[in-house]
Amino acid sequence: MTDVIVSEVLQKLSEKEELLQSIHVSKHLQPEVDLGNLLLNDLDEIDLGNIKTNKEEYLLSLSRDNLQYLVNKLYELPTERVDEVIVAKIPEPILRIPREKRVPKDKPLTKWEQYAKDKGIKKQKKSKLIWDEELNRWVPRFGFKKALAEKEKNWVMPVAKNVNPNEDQFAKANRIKEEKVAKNELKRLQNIARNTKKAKKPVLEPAAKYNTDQLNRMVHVAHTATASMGKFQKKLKDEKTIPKTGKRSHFQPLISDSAAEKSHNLEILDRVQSKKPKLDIEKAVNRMTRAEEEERHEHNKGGKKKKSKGGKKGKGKFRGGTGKKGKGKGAPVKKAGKGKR
Amino acid sequence: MQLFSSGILSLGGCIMYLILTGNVALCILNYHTHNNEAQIIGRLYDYHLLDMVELGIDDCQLIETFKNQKIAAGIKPCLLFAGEPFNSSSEYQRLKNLLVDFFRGEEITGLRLAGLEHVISFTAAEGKIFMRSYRILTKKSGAKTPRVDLEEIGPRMDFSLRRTKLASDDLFKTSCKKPRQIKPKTVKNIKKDALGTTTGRIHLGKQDLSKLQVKRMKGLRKVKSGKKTSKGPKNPASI
Repeated sequence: MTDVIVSEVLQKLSEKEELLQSIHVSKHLQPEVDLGNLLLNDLDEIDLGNIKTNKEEYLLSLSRDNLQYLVNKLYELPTERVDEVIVAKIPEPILRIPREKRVPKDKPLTKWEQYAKDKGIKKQKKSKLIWDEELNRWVPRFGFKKALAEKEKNWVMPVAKNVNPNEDQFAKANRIKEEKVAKNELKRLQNIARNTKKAKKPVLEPAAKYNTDQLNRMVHVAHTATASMGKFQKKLKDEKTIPKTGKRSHFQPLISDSAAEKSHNLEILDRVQSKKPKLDIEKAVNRMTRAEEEERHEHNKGGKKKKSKGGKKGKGKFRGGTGKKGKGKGAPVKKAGKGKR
Repeated sequence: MQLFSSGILSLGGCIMYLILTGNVALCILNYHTHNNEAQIIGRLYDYHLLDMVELGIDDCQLIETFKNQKIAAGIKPCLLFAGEPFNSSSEYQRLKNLLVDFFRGEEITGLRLAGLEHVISFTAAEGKIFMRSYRILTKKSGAKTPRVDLEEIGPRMDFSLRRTKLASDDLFKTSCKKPRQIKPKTVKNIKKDALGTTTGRIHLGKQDLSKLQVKRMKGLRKVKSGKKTSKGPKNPASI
């Protein structure tokens, strides 16, 4: 009797062991498992003989073993119940896959955020409701219910002694509130404007007063803004001829002094072959610092007095088209009357 | 995300147009010329080419040749990579990255364990890569984990790695960068021990030794041998 029971028990145990063996996978090297990607890297070597003889069966059995290992690992994960379904919590993927697009740029801080950061001011968590002593109840910190509560409290407003008695205090309070709201809105827009890309400075800026530089530019633009680009534009009485502006290409004549051409070409060759750096760093740095200084100066002055300091701002701007590099300082440039060119 | 187009390689402009308008990042180009069939798998980063790999197709058997029940589309597959080249060769590792990128589906935080249905295995041997696609069948085992069996369903392909145009290491690194907001915030100094108590260390600062109280401290008084330090209860009679 007991023999029968014992043998039954042993049989059940062996069956259980068999089943347990069925999920056991033996590997020489532990495979690398990336559960975030449901990925498994088998580090064992492949039996090439098996590949040659029975490829598909071998691949199937290999994949089955690897998958069994992966599934074993998956079932070890912590699980939770979501809508009557048992779900395993998958960790972060280990293998880094590249992004499709670039990482987006950080939002620029607003003026207040920058100030708070500098001062070390941290945001304080505020409650939604505030206890109001007068009304003896909880009033929201913001919103229409707060407005109603304020109205309740301010059903009467004391008028100060030095104030006009006919003035409507309630209207005044409303006006002040509106101004505050408008100011807040203005600041918000200024934050946005400061952080968005600025459009390039227009050629003709509207201003109360123009200087000669700007006037010359305006004259030129007005002259050329016709269908024929100013070519067939009749002159007005007493109007001075509008000189041409812009870059002019000067081409060498086709047949010229061959010695000069030869020396010119050899010069080019020397320059190309020379060991000197192509970019004169000092000159570039000086030029940049000068440009920055000028920008700062202009910004500080508020653009009121735009005394052009000769041609140092560079070519490309309207200077009467003489092509003069204009190194000297001096009186504001009066190049419009220089005559034809 | 995937774009299939057949034709010769020189259709570059057309492809670029399709890529830009379709806003895709991964693309496959199948091309077959006389005696020669190949696939080019490419991926983009920031609208520029990141990696491009040409895989010659040596043997291909389509889904139709396997007459059995298939799985629903869109299921996230398990990916298995076997073979020494996938762990040693840098080209193969980049190819592995590309294949994972292609086949892994969307990123998930939770997985319904009963819903594992699809496996794709890539095995690198004899200079070739064998891609096999299987369906998962689960059977009861004695333990919580089921025993899995596989049944081949999907396309069976044997590739050989031909030309590659891979991104440089630093470009690859920048493309993998995660935005700062996603990075987990490391909490410094706070620890939880085995019993569950949370501890942290506080730095009190340097102690000013010149301000130590050393005079007139009862505890620091020398005890003369034989005499008691405490005065003892007062004799009520002596008041």
